[in-house]
Amino acid sequence: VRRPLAASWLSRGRGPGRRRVWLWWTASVGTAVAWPLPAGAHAGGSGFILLLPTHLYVVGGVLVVTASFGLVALVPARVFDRAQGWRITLGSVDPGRCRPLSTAASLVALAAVAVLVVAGTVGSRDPLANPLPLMVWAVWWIGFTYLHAAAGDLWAHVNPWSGLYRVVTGAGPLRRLREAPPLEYPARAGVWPAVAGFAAFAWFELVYPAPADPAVLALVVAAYLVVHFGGVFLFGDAWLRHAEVFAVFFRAISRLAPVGADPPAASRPAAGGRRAVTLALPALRLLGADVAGVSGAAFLLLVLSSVSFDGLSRTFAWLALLGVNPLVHPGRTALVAQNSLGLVVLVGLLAVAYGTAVRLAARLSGLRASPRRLVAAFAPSLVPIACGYHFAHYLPVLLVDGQYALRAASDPFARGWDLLGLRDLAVVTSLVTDPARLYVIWHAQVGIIVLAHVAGIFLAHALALRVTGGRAATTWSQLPMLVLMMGYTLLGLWLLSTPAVG
Amino acid sequence: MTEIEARDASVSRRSFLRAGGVAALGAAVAGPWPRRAAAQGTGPLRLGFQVHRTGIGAVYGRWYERTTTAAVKLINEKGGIAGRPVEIVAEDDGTDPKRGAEVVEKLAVHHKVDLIFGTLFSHVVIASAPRAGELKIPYLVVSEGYHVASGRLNRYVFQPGITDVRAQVTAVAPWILKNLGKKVTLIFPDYAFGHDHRDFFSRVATAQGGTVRALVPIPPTETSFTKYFPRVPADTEVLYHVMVGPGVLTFVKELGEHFGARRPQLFGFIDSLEGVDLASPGLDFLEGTYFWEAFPRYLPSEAPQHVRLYRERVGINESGASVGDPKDVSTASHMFGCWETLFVIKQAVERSGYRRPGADYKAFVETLEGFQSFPEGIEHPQGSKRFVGRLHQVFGQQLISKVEKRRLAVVHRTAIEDSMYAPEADYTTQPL
Repeated sequence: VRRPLAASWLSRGRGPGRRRVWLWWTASVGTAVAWPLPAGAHAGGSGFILLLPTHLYVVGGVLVVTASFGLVALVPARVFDRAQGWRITLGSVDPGRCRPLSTAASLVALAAVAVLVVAGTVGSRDPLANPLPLMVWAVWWIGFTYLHAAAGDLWAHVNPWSGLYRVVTGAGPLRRLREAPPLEYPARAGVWPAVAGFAAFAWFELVYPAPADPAVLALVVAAYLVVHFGGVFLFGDAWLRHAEVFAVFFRAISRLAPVGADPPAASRPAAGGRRAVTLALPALRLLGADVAGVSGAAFLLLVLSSVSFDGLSRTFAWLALLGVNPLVHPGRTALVAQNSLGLVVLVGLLAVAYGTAVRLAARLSGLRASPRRLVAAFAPSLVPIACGYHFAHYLPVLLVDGQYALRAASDPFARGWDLLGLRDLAVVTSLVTDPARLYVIWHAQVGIIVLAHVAGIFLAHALALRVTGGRAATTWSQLPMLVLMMGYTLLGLWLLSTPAVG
Repeated sequence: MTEIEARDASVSRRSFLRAGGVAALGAAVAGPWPRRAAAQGTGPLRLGFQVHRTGIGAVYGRWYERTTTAAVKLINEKGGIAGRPVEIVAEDDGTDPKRGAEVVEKLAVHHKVDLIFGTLFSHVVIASAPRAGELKIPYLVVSEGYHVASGRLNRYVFQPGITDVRAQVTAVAPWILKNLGKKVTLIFPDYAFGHDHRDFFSRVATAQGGTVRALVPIPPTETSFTKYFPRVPADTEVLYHVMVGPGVLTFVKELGEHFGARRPQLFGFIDSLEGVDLASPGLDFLEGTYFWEAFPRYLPSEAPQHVRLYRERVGINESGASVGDPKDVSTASHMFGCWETLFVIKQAVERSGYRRPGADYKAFVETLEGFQSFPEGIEHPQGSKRFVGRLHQVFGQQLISKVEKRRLAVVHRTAIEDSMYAPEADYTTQPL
């Protein structure tokens, strides 16, 4: 029985709740902030990693991923269904009654962003003393991503736009703005605006010479704030769900979390709109996610490839390819064109590899579905991989720059204040230079990369079962995806092992 | 009582408190905009600090920042410079040469600082210095490169706080030939840094009766070194190595695997292992070998009081690691240069009567060029120095240390004269 792909699960996710869920997870994949770590001309850090038999770790990691594929193939389809549906109800929430709290949280976030922008403008010029770059690149971009992978979609409540929008449009003449936004967000736009936004973000982070410059970053953050206020006032809430880059990003990541609020339809219909707060198996909420079509898949591919490129662009191998001596790295300014091109090429390569794997998978299982639907159908399996790359890549940055962020928060405007009593906190940087500590972190990085790919294999298999109705062909159909996952495991572990600059 | 404490004992409590109060006020209103008082030469002395906060120089930059902060704190405690509190305006250059030039301009034009100091990596110095020359603002680098003394830069660029690589090699080469052996093979990274060592060492060694048995350049991106070792001639008595980068630990490990107990004498530069614990894995083979150091990473038992005070103020323990994070090893052989540079600035400002940017630079530059020596003390904890005004370069003692029980012990301190070479430039003939 050949069922068109869309009939299986994409069509079930047409409701607004489902779409929202999928968009959440879309966002999850990790971006990479080009934040400089000690390395390069320095013998420590990656020098200690070179002493390890890293090739054995790489081979071992790929073997584990391959073995997991074999194991997954033996698991009956009903086990996947059961695993996906497994829930422990922790309680329930009434979204209507929680809204004031959400509005307040968003207003507080807006105030915090405003303070940070001021600090970026008038505070210290040192990116390790000014709170803006530290809060943006370490606490928010890295720490917040981890938080979403653990605790669900917090950004829906602490984004800086929704609170003010609700307050302004809650009563009076502007009320109509919310009831009937001046413009309707076009459904066919999908999350393409967020894709474009993420591309710009990735370029700024990975290629622009000074993403941590406080004054530059203050301008960028302020501009981003204004643009999306414009968007939400013109298009309403739909803008924040589909076009705001980090709504899409964090929503995707949050689908990995065991904790989440199930939409009313999935919980008890009699509950009067209350949503059940449940505990699910990690990452399996992704199976219930509504993929925003090709644009959602493109978003994930972009996120994954940008994090990968951040790693790649620092390797001696990449610099050698460019004819650059890494020991006297010429700086990011000199490499803007090369890195821009590299980013585009890597995104393209990953997109082609993924598209090819998905189409081959469909052919092997005898599925007839449009390429667009196939591309979207398997995209959730990219989320754990992207998140794993993000985690592995940025863990050391968070550990060190998180401490600098605490110091900076104590004196945000460089006025000699000590608001938190942490202005003179002794920052422990040996976390990333002392071999004993470095090895602990490195093994955690390797573990998470392998685990992320195993999760990707599991998800891809479950998705294939769903679209083929559990036929035996699924195992064979997943071979192209296995090759893709093996390749990406290899790349991820190699990036962790090869010499790189900071 | 240390030297500076004795000299400043005459500073009254009132003037001390007044300077401190002004310093506090300066800190309280620190921001990107210059203040009227500063522009008039009565407020804080604003020093632009071009720092490698990010990029490949970040490890060095971190310690340069800590040393600078400690020195400024001490200077302000003692009444500031010419009675004015010192305020640091730090700008990250990303260890990026093009950004370096932009930072110089931003500090000079936008922040209107009085002077700029602190740049380390040679390629950033070389790209930034011309802008300082165009803007006619004194630019005091802490780079160790020969680019200042070579005459390649301009009249506004000085290196008064750290010696250059040519002086270092010139000073240690005779000791190597005399004590370790006359047949030397050099292993060095195949780019400018390694080439400097190759050229300067070869020149001195051959002039003093030594023989350079072989030159073994290693590509900068190399991560496996065993294949190069057969190129070391069997009769080599000394292996001179200056590898840098993440491959150093592997280099040492493979060196041990190749040569074992039948190794020649080894002499290296601590640049290879700045910021790295000598007890780290892979470094066992270095036991009993020698290194050049500029400043003893490990506190010698006979260290004078000013050295102890310097270490205490900067926050490093007896092993040269951070007091707050004992696994964080400092860049001891470089960072003292920031400290000493700041005290040279103090001296030059006070002697020249410098008050404000612009016309006063002439007096500042000429006063600095007129300096001839700096005595050892808390202002110059590394040791006494000779300053050659025409070269804009300071000369000092160099240390040779031996690895004993995975620590470095100083075995020889060269004389300042050992490092002097025939001058090849004269900046004082350039117009101001």
